[in-house]
Amino acid sequence: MRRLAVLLAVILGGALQAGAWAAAPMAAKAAPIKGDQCVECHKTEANTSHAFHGECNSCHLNAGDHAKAHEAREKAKGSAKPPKVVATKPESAECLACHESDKRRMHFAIAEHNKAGVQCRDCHGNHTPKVKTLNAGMEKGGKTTALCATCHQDVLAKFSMVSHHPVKEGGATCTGCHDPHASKQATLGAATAQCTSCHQAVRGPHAFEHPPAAEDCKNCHDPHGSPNKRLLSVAQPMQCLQCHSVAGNRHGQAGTVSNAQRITGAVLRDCSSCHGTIHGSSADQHLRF
Amino acid sequence: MNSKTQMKVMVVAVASAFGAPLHAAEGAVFSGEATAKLYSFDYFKGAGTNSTQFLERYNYQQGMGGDQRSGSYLDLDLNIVGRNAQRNVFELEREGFGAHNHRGKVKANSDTLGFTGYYTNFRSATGGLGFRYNPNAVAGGTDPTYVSANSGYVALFNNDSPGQTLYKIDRSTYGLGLALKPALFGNSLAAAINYDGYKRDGNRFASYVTGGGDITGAVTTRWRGFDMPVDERMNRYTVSLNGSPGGFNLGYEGSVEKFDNKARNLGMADFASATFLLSAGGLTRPLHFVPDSTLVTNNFRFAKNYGSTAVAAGYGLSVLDQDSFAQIQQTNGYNTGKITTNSAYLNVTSNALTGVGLEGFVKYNNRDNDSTFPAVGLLNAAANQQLGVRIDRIRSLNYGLAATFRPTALKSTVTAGWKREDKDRNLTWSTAAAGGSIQPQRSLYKDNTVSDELYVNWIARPMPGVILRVIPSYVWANETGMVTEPEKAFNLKAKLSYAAANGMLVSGYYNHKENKNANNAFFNNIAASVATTSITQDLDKTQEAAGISLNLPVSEWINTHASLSWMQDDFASYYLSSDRRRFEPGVGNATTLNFLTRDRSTYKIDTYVLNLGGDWQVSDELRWNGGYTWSRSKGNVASGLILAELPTVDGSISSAVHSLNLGVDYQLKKNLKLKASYVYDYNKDDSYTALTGGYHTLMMGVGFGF
Repeated sequence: MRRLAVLLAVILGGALQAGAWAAAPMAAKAAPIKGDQCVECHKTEANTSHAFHGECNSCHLNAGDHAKAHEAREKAKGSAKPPKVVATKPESAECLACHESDKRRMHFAIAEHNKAGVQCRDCHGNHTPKVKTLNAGMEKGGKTTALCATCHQDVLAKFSMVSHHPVKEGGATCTGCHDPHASKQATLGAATAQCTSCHQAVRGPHAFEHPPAAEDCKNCHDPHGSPNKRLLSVAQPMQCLQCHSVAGNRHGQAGTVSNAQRITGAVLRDCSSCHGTIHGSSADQHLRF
Repeated sequence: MNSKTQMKVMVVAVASAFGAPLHAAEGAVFSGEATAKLYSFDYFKGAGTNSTQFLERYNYQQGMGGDQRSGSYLDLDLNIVGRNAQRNVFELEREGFGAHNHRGKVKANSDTLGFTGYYTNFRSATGGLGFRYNPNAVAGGTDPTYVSANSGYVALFNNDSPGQTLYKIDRSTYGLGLALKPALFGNSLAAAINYDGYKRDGNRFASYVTGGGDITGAVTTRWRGFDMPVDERMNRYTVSLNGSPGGFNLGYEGSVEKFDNKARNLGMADFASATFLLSAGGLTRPLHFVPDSTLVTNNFRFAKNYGSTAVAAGYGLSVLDQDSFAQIQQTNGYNTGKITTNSAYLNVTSNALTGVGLEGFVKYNNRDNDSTFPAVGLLNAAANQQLGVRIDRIRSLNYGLAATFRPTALKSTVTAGWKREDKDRNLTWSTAAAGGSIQPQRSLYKDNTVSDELYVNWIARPMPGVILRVIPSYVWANETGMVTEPEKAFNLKAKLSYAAANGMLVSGYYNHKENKNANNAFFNNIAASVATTSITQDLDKTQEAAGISLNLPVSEWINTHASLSWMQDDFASYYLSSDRRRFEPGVGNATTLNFLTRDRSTYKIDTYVLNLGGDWQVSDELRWNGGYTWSRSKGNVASGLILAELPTVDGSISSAVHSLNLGVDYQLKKNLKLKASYVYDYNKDDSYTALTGGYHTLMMGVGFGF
């Protein structure tokens, strides 16, 4: 079985190599940038990161009219100058004409970003990067995080809370958890998969499950940031006591009828100090070990 | 195939194909920059090296001599781009911020193939910070007044690893990807093979309490903590296929994800000693057992435009299998741990009606617990304390409709919609007689959730550069399965932004999210013939946030920005108690269990974040940048009875973090750039004053361009 697998891998790799060699001469040729007329003025924009973006009017649909108007204005004098024609910027639909079949963009039509009116060009700079330089304070976070933060200021602020995912520090990125092209209405798989694709150690399967953890991590955690330890959306003990009552013959009490004995801070301060396997246990109904 | 074989196959395949994009890079012009950096850092205030500092949790530094409080180290940044007339055919980037925070990526592209690779390494010391809150480290963390047989363990916390005070975990991620572009298949198909993995190793401080019957010694030996090794590997292999035959967009993505826990699994017996005496039962207890597991997913997606109507659909099947079992599980026949999730969705959007866009969606998710049940002796509904509640299945159906209009007023786009969530849980509750079961009437976990939501999404562009977004929604539920689900919720997101022609951008936002749930109650008796009384939990959780932001280009060469954000977390619920444990009322569970409302505790924390910064391109050669961030959190985490009992370090939050950074770049020659930066961080904690500390670092770098 192992030999067969290695053989298949070599054949696959060789086949790909052959395809690439066949295509190599084309890749080495000078790109036929058809926007020469545009480049005369738009020198910076001539730098595209992709060959298929070389035709200006494939994205700027009225580029021809814009160029003609510009030429006419150059020739005309005084009040006889014809009006400017501003080159249109590409709508998402123009980008999707080519990119809709990409695996991550085939559902962009129903993506949250699209519904919010965010265009491809709002994040993607085909001529120059949207985020060119970073201040010293954002260097660890990186350009992707800085790009998301230009709109999501409310989320960026949460990454300055006492407890937060280390996004600004470089330990995580926005796109590590969120696919900006995806739709919540088109997610597949477990409800907790967004978190357990990194936090596999808590996904189990557990013989004894803690229901809120099995259903949705956000029942207890605020993933962007929280004033509380461990990204808890409410500090302990109230995080736990919103669902649980405190048994009067445990947790420091003797089970008297009054049911109202004092419970000290040693018990109340950290429920998970005793119920340590709070996400689920292999052997204990009470999630203690 | 085991994971090692899978890895070898992937490496061989990628290595065989790797030559292709490199070949495509022939004739490319390479340019880039290599920056050698020298950092000098100093934790000038705070705990010594035997404790973790607050600022150190995400900034673990180590000098060349191994010093973690003050030292120097070298690092290197790389940024290389190979470009031919068509595209960037090769990109290599590496950024480093010390021995425990660095990352890199490589990309190569041809017409037909794309290759990607990446790695990251990040050390987190949050575990070490958490250790500083362990019961022995906090005044009031233990209470010697506890003496009863059932609760006396609270009097003493036993640390089985007393010499270990530092806890940290390294996460190293890595991956390779090979994209087979449409040009390779006549533009009819695209494929990709990806490998993603991580290694996570270090240690964490774990704590536990033994069962009363697990020990034969003193009750005060029951509460314990220990240094738990962490050594995990994850390897995921993904194959993607996408094609557009006949105007259909079809996609398939399948993955196999193997998670291996390579750390030694510990049990209570590992810590048995002359003072910690275990019974026969206690000797078999595992501690924080983390199983190996395999997740296999298969996802199919479909999209098609029919004139002005678009259809999107998908189906996914994922199976999570447990691959290793604790000894006590094996002994008791628990040999299958398996969660199967089926999910599907259908979306239809249409612009067939003039002036109105319509959308409808249905989403289905079914989670089946196919694990061994019962496992007599371990997990058994008929036995005492061997089951609370088992989730057999959760089936949810979400569906909704929305209509989008474009009224001319304020150049608006308005979407009005309705959604419904219908969640049905199959739960198995304990049937144990003689006081060994929690009955559903004594739990706030319920079978059904049914909620509706109305929402409006209004986007207006009343004048050039101005965008207003207002998104209110209201949720009401007939049934809720958990108190964390809203019985009633009102949410509002609003944002106003203005982008001027000169590059100025000003914006403000306000978010309001309020969840209420008084739909759950404990019942004191479950016998139908006996009058029952109930005690209701009433939860109110409100999160508010507001902020303003300004980006102001003062001139062509100077840009500034400022922002101020405020966030408030506000929560209230009842603090309830019962005179016994909820599964204890006598034979047949027919006797009364007395619940009592002790208090209504409130939690309210305000957080402010101020950010100021700017950059100044003094000349073609010289650029300065700087920034200052101040964040402040303050409030009480509880009120009344609970706040009065909590230790100071736990009852309130009062901390502020100041962060100042300055940077300068100077182009000395065409291919030589000098760089320098200075960062100053200071954390002031008024609740846990020992966490106050400061750090600063100076970086000097030389960038060589080519």
